[in-house]
Amino acid sequence: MEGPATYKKYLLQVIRVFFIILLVYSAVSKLLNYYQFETQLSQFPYISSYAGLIAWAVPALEIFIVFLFFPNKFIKIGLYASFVLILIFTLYIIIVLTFSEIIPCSCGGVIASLSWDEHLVFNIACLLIALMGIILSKKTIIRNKNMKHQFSG
Amino acid sequence: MKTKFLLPALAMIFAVGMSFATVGVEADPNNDYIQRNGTWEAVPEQDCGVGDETCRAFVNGDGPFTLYDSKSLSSMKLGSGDPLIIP
Repeated sequence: MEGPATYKKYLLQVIRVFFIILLVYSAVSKLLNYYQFETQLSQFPYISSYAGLIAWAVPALEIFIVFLFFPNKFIKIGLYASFVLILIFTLYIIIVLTFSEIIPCSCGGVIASLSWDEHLVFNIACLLIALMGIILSKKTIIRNKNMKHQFSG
Repeated sequence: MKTKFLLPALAMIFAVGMSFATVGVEADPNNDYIQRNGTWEAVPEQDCGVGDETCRAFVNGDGPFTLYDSKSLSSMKLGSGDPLIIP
């Protein structure tokens, strides 16, 4: 019979796969529509002067984070990185929705059909999933350490 | 091996395939769209020329409006940048 520890391990794997799919999909969609993405960024309030840099940096960062999810020992760092990236984007959406008059969209693929409010809900859900993954990965590491200690003792 | 490499690799391949499959899927081949006072309005499909400039058009003397391939702000059309006139 499988215990709760096994389910937590499976759940962590599901969260890992979720973030790999989300980040790769987001990065490839941006790169496939690179010129459109850059033009949209140049119309964004506050960050328009950095559009060229951001248009490359965001997909590159997303792909870098994806590779952090490959080795088991970097999963926690990958989850932290995903959490920070989505948090920055979420805070930006909140600032734009609150203070800016112009609200363009710069999201790729299917996610582009979401409105800004729906996007905000989606981002908050992703943040919660990342947070759950961080908590689960901490517990898994502590459990593994305790098991090693028991066997060596 | 299964969780270390195979699972993330399969997820990555799946996501790449999905992004290629959904790119421009929402584009309407017969119409372009403009946003007037926050609502979407269909206009006939326009040729914006070649270039990386935002495609704009005057519609019935109003505008210029940015042209979109679909009712999505992310589907903005690019072209030479010369404003078009749609009667």
